[in-house]
Amino acid sequence: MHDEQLIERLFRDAREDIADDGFSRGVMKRIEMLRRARRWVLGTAAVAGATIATPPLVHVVFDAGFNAVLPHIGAPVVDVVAMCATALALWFFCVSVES
Amino acid sequence: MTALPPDADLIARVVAGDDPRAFERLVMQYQSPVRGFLRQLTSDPAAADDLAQETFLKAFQRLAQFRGDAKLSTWLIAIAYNEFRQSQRRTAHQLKITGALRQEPDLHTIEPSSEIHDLPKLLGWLEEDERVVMVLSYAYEFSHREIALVTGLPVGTVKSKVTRAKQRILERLRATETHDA
Repeated sequence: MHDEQLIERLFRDAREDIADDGFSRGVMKRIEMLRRARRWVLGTAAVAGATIATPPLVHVVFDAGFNAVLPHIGAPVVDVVAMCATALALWFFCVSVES
Repeated sequence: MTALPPDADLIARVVAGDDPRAFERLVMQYQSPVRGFLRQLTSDPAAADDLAQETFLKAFQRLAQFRGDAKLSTWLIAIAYNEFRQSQRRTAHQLKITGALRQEPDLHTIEPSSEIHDLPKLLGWLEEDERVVMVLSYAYEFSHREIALVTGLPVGTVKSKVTRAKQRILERLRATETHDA
């Protein structure tokens, strides 16, 4: 038998037809998990970003007139509240990235 | 059974994200060649399926980068080969850590007559890249250019590796025949 034919015969059956047997469903399940994680990350990042932007905005509002109505609250209290919200959002962000 | 839409149509739907079933159809269409290819390389169906799953996850994440200058099957096999090489590197690293030595096949411990028609054993005598080019060339009928795309080797190197691997297989088969006679 010619060498080339011998090699071809050897490899002829190597390309087996493999039944799906739930493989594609398994892949899709993992993709769905991936999508969910990505949604979490993007959503939490958006919240974190918004919260980081909050203190300066609050300052603007506070300085613009809120101070005149409720002067006893004070800027430091507003800052603390805003920073707590930021920290909470960042914590959510970290948790979702970890999962 | 309904005919599947062409690849380009399915890819466009996956990238647009407007058809959640489109990627599943692509997986169904290409799972057999990808899993089969990895089974030839690993000789372990379970490990091959794990790598195939990673392959399709990577493909899903990178599908928007698929430019269509090669067939989708070639692109998927290239990702699969990359996954296989990464897993090989991880295994080698783990073996290095544990101090285990890789067991090379011993000429005297394998019964030569058992090798006729036993492709996995014959492939075991080849270097990893020779094995890949032979499987792609003969089992999957990839052109040398397509094999070059998958392996990242120049076309000339692919040709010489195919020739060398063929010689090694034929030498092995002749040694088997001599032993049997």
